[in-house]
Amino acid sequence: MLQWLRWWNRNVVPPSQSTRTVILLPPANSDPPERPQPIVVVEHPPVVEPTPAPPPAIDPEPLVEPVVEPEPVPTTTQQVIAAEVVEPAALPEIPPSIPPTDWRGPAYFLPGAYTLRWGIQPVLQASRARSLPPAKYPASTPAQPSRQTATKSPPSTSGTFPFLLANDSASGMRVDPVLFTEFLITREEELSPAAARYWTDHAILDPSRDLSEKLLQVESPLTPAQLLAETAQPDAALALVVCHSVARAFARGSTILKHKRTTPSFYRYFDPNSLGAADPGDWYRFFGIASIAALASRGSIERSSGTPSRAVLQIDSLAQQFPASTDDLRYAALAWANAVQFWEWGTYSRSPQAVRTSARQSLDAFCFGLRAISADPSGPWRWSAPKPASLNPNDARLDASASLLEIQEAA
Amino acid sequence: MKISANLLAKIISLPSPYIQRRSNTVRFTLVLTVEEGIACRFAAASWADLLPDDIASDLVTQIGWKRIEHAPARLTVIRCTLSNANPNQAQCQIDLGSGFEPLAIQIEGV
Repeated sequence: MLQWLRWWNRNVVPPSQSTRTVILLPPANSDPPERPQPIVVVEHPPVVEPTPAPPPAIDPEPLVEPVVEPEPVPTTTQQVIAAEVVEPAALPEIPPSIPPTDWRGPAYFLPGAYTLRWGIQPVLQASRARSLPPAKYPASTPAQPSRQTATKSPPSTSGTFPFLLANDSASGMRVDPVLFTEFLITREEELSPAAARYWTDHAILDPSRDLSEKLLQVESPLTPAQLLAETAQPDAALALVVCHSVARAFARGSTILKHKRTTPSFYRYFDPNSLGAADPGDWYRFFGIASIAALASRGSIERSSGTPSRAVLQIDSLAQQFPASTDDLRYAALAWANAVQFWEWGTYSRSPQAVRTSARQSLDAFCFGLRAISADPSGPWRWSAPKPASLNPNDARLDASASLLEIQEAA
Repeated sequence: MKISANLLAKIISLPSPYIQRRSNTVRFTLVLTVEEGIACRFAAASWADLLPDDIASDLVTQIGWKRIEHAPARLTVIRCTLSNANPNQAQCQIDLGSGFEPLAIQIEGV
């Protein structure tokens, strides 16, 4: 019987049953043996602590594709545009130049305003509060009335950089500041015939061709100083203009110098460590600023003639707003050079970092130009860098203070 | 900054397989640069397969040399759709590095 009950408890009652009958067994030594009484044991399922209900699900916001195209470099894929092209707004017409009747002459570029020693002060506006300390460098010889261009020197191997600079004076190349500015900022094919002379004048074109041919033979890239030395010109200012022309031809192509785009090869000839390798155009801009520094600091400026383009008029208005010294032509050169860089980068650049880099390079170029004519390159120099795309190309006059990003200084 | 209808007419007259012509619509995408010289190609073509020099030069003049110089990598992309192959009914956009923006059409005589 006992064995049967044990068998019953063990096998018949299912363990998972919530209610099961257990028959308690009497002790084995009970006498007389008691009849076992069934006891019902109710087993409840384990109580599970209810977990807090999760918060109601929030519908996530639908993902929105960015509208702005993220690529900094324009896309070059072949994708054909969708039909929903935005209707372009009509742009106001801009006259290519200021009508002569509306233009009263360059306020800054006129020799009287430029040299300052002839009694006409430039209109300094926003820059008065940032005026520079007195200049240390004595003024150059006043500008001579007649234009002289340097004679072409016989081709020769270059010496070291300072060799070009000896015996330089105001008797070398001279420029009309309005036309020279137009030459610096305008594409070769769009230049007026008057401004194109800085490309085509044989005093500039011949050494430029020589330098181009020489450059194609170099075994290692040249630094700016080495390139300047390769011109083998006795007139350092002319040599700088030649370097500008050659660097520009290699960086942007040139019909006049017959330099056409083939495969990218600029940094095979121009040292990528000198001005960086971001843009070959940095080289011609460098020599453009250096040319201004050399020409203006030694007073090689002609009286302006002709009608300036709107861009040159804007540069002229900027130049009036930069610091100038009353007795030092280097500061007038600084204002002119700064105005050219300020105008270009303030109008067209879209990157503050690129503007800063350009301002630093331009300041270096300015000192380079001073050293090229054996002028004292020590400052202090203050260079105004513009906010990118802050200047309106449609305005006749520009406000430098409203577009100022920062001022860079050099000792 | 604009592109002339005359120049668009010159471009779509090129016998290029990269100009998409479907029913009455003509579409193309150009890449234009001034890096080491002016050059222009269709977007799907290579730099060895350029548009004629005069077209590239006119494009640079109309867009603006300095604008292209200051674009990233000195590159700009121009894409146009011409309804009925009519340059006067073209719609163009230009990307100078900040995404596509409308490019005005200069219609001669208007």
